[in-house]
Amino acid sequence: MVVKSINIDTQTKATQAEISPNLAVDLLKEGNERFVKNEVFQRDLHQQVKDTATGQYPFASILSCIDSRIPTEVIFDQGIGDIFNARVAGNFINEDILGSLEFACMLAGSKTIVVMGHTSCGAVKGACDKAELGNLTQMLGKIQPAVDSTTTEPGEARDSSNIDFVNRVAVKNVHHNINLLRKMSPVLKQMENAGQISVVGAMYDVNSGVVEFLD
Amino acid sequence: MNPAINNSETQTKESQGLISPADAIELLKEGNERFVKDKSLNRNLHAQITDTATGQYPFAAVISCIDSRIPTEIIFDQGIGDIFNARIAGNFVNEDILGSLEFACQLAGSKLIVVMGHTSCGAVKGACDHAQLGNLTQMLDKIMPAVDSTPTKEGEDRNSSNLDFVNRVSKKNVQLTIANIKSNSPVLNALVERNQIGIIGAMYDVKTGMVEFFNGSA
Ligand SMILES: [Zn+2]
Ligand SMILES: [Zn+2]
Repeated sequence: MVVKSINIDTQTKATQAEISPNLAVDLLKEGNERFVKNEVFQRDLHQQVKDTATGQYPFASILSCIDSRIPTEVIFDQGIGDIFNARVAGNFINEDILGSLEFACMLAGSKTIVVMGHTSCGAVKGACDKAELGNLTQMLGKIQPAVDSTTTEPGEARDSSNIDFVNRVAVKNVHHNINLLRKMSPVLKQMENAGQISVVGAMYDVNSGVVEFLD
Repeated sequence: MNPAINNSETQTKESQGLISPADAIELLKEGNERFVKDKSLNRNLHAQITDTATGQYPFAAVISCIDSRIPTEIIFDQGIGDIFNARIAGNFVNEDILGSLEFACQLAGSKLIVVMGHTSCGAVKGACDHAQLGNLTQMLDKIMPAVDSTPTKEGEDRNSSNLDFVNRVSKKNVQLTIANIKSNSPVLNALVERNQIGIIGAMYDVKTGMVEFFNGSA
């Protein structure tokens, strides 16, 4: 679909400028396809370390979970200098994550923000079960709006024993946090309105390695 | 290290149980050495996805920066299911990162927390320059204690034009973050005191790809 070299070589100020918000999402989609098909690029990472020693021009920023099964750059087949990655258990927004994303887009020029949840998320399970422990209690409180607004059939369990419910909450959590991002960051909202960045949701399937982009 | 510990295979409940906090440091050191020498393991990532579809048993949790030059799992040569990774610009802790680390260690059995800063950090530069923008302003405030407590010689610049100062602030920021973890998370502090986990600082050099671990883990 696109010129391969734009994502195999190290990003520069010039290549970053050429990438539109839509193309940025396409590059990530293609990268995940390569990962799933076991056809990842053979990048010279050491050359990329040298190329980026004095600066970075990443085309995308991902907000994802701390989960050990989802090494973001690996599952999107990205190299050194391609994507920013903010990670917190349950991939939600707080003011520090927003500050990080504002840095990534407004100051460092990245073109899309992907809020990526995943199936079988331990943090989402904890929120569904209303787990309480130290700092975790208030952290899980931030996932609670997604739990509360996810509907169930009569008699259907609303806890982590129901993995289908857990995964629906994870999707809801992505949508909820995209709305929150627009509300809490005038900087990012303005960039989106001006067509300078896109903000999209996605779900990673821990069974298959496939990223599904949400509408 | 127990010879049964094999970092090329997917972590299981049993293998996680064999790894001590000191072993966990060793595994990450060895992994970064492999990365630097271009001798990364050839793991079968698709088999690892299948192995971990129903659970994860990571041996370490790393807190690092969002910087695009530092894909944590790649620079430590770790596979699917090996390490948790929390990332925020400037690698400090807030209550959500602390909650994430408590989840990683207390509930999911990780043996080590690595707080990893890096050279030429944009967030640290922003803090040194007192940059102000939207949510960034308060975020950078959290790095200010490191800026304020990093000494300079007379006449030496205390802004991002002085890269040596910036990198010293980053190192200080790692040390202060470790202290914050211990004082703001009784859960993690108790795990440290019982020697169930270790906490160690590290710096990644964006010029060389090398991770330098600080002396002595908590
Ligand atoms: Zn998760
Ligand atoms: Zn940084």
